[in-house]
Amino acid sequence: MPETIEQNTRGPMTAAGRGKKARSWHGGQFPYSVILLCMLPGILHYLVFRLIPSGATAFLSFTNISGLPNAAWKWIGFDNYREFFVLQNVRDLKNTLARTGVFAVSVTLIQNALALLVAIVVSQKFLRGRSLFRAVYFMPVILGTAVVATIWKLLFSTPTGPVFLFMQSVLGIEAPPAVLSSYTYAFPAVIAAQIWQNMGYSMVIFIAGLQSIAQELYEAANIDGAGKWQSFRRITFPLIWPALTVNALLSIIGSLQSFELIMTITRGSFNTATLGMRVFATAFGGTGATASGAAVAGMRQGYAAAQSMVLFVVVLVVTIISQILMRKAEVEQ
Amino acid sequence: MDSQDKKVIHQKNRPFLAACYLLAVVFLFLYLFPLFFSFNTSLKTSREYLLNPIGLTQSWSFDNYITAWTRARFGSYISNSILYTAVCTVISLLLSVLIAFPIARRFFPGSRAVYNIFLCGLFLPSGTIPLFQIILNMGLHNTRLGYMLIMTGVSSTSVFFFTGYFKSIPKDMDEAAVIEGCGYLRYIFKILIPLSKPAIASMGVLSMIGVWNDIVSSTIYLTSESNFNITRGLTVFTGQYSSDWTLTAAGLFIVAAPLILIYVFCQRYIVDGVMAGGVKG
Repeated sequence: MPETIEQNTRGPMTAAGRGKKARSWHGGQFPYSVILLCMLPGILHYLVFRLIPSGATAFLSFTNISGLPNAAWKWIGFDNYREFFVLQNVRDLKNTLARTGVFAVSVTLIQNALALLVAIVVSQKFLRGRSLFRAVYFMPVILGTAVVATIWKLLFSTPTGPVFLFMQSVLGIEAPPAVLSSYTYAFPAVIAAQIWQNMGYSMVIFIAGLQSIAQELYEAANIDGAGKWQSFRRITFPLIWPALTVNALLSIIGSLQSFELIMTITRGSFNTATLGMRVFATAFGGTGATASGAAVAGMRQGYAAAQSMVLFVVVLVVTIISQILMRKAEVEQ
Repeated sequence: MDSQDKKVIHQKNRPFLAACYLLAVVFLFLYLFPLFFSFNTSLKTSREYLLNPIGLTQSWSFDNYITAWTRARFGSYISNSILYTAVCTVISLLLSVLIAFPIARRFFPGSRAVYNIFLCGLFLPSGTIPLFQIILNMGLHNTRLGYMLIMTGVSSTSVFFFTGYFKSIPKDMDEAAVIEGCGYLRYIFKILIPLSKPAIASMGVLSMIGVWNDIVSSTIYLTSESNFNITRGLTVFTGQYSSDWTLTAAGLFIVAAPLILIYVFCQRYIVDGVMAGGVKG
């Protein structure tokens, strides 16, 4: 009992009990006002530039506001949503949603599968130069969108890019397509860029997950005669599940919204305009504002806000469903 | 288990070992080749590149870098980027520390609620369009100040990361400081921040990379070339010289060089920061 009292008097919250001043809350013994004053700029900035804009998107989606300064705007009800779901060509609507889905699903699946594979490989104790491998795989995360996009343009350039030359001389294709300006191949190439850039990120999270698995489990399994595949299936996979859940969530949310590489590599042309790309181009101009990759006149930010609300709902629903599925799978294991 | 046992196991798994090395090397190629190819290209003359795009550079010419630098105002882009990165990183870190510390110590009622509000940022949509309207109506569109206001900020990850870190710093420190008559801000700068160097480094490096690499906000908020940051400059440059791949490659490495340097020296902090955002969050 005396011990707990001793501990309590040390804590800042109960230190007031010592009877210096009758305050129930204070900053240790630092002046309360100074502490709050110091927090104020950060909180204000967060409110004005993060929370309020985040909520205000819903509001703007019911207006016809434009991105031009001092332009008149008014409340137009559900017109923006009507334009997106009803007035828009059905094929364009379908294309946009399908493309967004294909982008997110393929990025999430391939990126996580590769990242898990690579993480397991570079976590093997016998592998020499493990840290070098890890560092190299992680590099594009640091290099950023502009650099990765430029590298991609260089790789796929015609007719001197290495991919073109590879298709021509190794695969024996006589007239290889200009991949990044092809209506068929530009989209897969952009997906590949997205995976190439972010695989290392998922890998790092998997490595952390693998490190938390006790080595003794593998040794015990080995003594019991379990093969590599069995150890993976019975030990690694169930124990890596939390990391997999985090990774899957991050890449689903990220890839549904991500349009940076699309914007920098194809500018949303050549059948690459996902919903995120369309929101950006509708709001701020440039190609990729429609499913076919065209630009729209003016900065139609009300309409863009409505599209971004659609995207938000998609992200929310997909996130919740995937979380439920992954929880269920975890229980079943 | 002694070393002989280990050897036996390794011999049993020789195919596994070979497969691991094979995979590691294949991926190494997939990740290094694009970088190596770009670097090699940047050292060629245009003529050499057209004649032999794949082969190793013969001329080792750094002319492309000089041409890119002079033609594309990379000097201006880089100084802008340094300004943006330095200001936004320092202010963001400071604001985050000043918010995370009282939360970590539970200095005030509802600190948990404030913490949760900041965590919400992880899930909330970004609100790009209203943000644009705010900046537009403040008259700050296409100004350095407006751009820096956007790029600064208390990120959810940093509040989360710092709060966790500060909890590991003993409270006795606070009390000792108060008894010695140390003020709050002085405590933050002289004791808390020096004690939290690894955390500051992790979040600082992540923030720096984020600002340096930003392409979306710079496309939205910066319209005149004198305000461009380096990634925006690179995009414009590659658009202008789209057929001159040797120049493009040189521009690419002007942008990437500082990042690669930071990466080589701060890799540990970067990985720590990424894990903080991923594993625990």
